Amino acid sequence: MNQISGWVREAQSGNRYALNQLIDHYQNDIFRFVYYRIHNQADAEDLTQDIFIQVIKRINTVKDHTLFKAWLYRLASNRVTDFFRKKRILFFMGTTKDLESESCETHDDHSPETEIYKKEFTILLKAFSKDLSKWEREIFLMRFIDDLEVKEIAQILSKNENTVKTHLYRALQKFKKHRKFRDFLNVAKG
Amino acid sequence: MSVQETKHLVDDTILWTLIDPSRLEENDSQHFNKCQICQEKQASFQQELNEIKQLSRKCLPVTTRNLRPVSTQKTVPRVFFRVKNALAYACMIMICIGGVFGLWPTQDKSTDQVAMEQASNFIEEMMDVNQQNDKYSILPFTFQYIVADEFEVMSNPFYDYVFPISTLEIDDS
Repeated sequence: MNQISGWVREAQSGNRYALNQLIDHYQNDIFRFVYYRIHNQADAEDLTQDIFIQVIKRINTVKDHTLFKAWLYRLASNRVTDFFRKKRILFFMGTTKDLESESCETHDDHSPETEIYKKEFTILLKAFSKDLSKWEREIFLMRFIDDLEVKEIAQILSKNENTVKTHLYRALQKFKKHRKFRDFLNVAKG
Repeated sequence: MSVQETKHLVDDTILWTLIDPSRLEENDSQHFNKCQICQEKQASFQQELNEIKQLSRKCLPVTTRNLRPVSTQKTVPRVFFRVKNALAYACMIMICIGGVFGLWPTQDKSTDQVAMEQASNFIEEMMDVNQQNDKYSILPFTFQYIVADEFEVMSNPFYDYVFPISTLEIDDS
């Protein structure tokens, strides 16, 4: 964490190397964060790049260097919200097909079984996400896919820690009832 | 009282052990620390949730390009296009406002005024033509071609010979 604070400080003073280090460090995390919300690789890549452009432009606004991660994820979260807002407008204007993304393809060279397995996971995760409320979904994904601590989630969403815990508890209650998803996870585990 | 004799934790309480163990009541907490069945149940939940994390990483597609932005320098064309777009939007808004509220110059004059102007132009034009032909006619220029000749006061040598003017004159005596 100290190293990241150092990079942030250096990047704010105009050190391009430190900025690149920061971007390289968080690039995969942010891509994953975006991908599991919009489920489209091309859009996720574009959005991730856009988020880092915003980071470069606004890094000087970070006051507390230790809160850079929370700041970055909040920026990403806002950009994802903007993406859906824009997509909804285009959908109503009839220039886009569907609000839901159509693609969950990967470009790796995997066997058909692995591809089916991945597709099944994506479908079940999306189905489970639909059962959750907005905050429950956001907090569940942040906790169990982005691997963020409750404290960090609270900072990102500007919410009380207890509120985050309550939403997480409700999401877990729904997860407990989602038999199909849990069975799939148990098979994957075995 | 042994752990087996006390009631096992319900699933919802076990969920709290995953989120915040400090929220458990003292009895529940003591039971959980000693009860292997409840601990296994919690571990099973935890493993399922860990599996989500593992699978989310496995199923993540490999990015097709480097996501680090190359340059964020503002370029002149971008600024130019932004200004151009702003002007285009401003013109579009002006056109819409003009169209909706009827502020076009063609709609400044009423229909009656336009008709009056057209009529006076026509009369002026007609008078000019009559003066150029050096004729006197009570009829408008347009109608002079479709009426008989005698309505015009003109001299014709043939008619003058056949019907001398003097014969047509009324004798005063």
